[in-house]
Amino acid sequence: MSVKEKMTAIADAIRDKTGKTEALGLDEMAEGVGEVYEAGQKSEYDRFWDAYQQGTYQNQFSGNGWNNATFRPKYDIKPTNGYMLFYSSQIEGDMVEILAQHGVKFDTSRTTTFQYMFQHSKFMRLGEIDFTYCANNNSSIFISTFQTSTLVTIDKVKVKEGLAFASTTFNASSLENITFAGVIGGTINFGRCPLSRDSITSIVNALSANSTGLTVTFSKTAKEAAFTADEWAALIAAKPNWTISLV
Amino acid sequence: MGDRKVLYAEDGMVLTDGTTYGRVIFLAEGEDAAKYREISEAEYETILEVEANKQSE
Repeated sequence: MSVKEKMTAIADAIRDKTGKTEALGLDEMAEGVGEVYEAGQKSEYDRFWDAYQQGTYQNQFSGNGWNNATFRPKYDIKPTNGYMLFYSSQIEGDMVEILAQHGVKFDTSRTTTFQYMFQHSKFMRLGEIDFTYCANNNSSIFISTFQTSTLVTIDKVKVKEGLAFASTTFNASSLENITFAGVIGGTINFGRCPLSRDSITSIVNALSANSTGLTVTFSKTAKEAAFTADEWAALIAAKPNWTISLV
Repeated sequence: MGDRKVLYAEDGMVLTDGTTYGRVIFLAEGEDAAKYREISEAEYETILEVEANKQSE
């Protein structure tokens, strides 16, 4: 091949990978090498995530291999099966912000199980978690959902009255901030959580006004830090149908 | 507190009915206080540990 033919071949290869159509001089070819590399990276990113974000999401991001460097989702995360989704994942920080950086959201509006979903994970904040698509009266689907020592905030938990919770659903020993939307109609335990006053208030206000035989458990330390005796009496007076335990 | 009974565990003890555990329990109206008994803190911590290990398997 002549030098000209070789140069044309190089330019063709660059155009093929970068989508350029114009003629390329030597300077443009030098720049093009970098662009080809970036195009290759993007191609591999697309290839991997187009394949990986298929399926139900069971176990999808569990384990030590998932951290802030490797977790780069391309699509919204919409699990139908949330079993161990982020179990023991090493992704740290604010999940809402992390996903926003990648232009995606976490949507659990069609999730049917949350068993171990965030157990031993390292998120500090979660956005909205929607339990309302789950079957009623099956506490096994909520075993150890939020059993983690790093979680401080859950923006919102959407519930419905028929749900049954496991005793370990909210075993989040650093959880201070949580807001409920909907009605809590099953025994529920926040005994390990150092909840704020607003959080305890949100929970009590969400308790079913009709159900009987149910118990809500709070940390005694958290309650005493948040309420005077009179404030507490006023808060729980509206839910005489609930046993309220301080542990 | 209306008609609520309030149960208080002795120091170093925890109240339980076998499912609910607490150091202070505000009973729902009409609930029977007799179903609660006291266990030691140590026994309670053991129960929690067994439960946590079971859930992590």
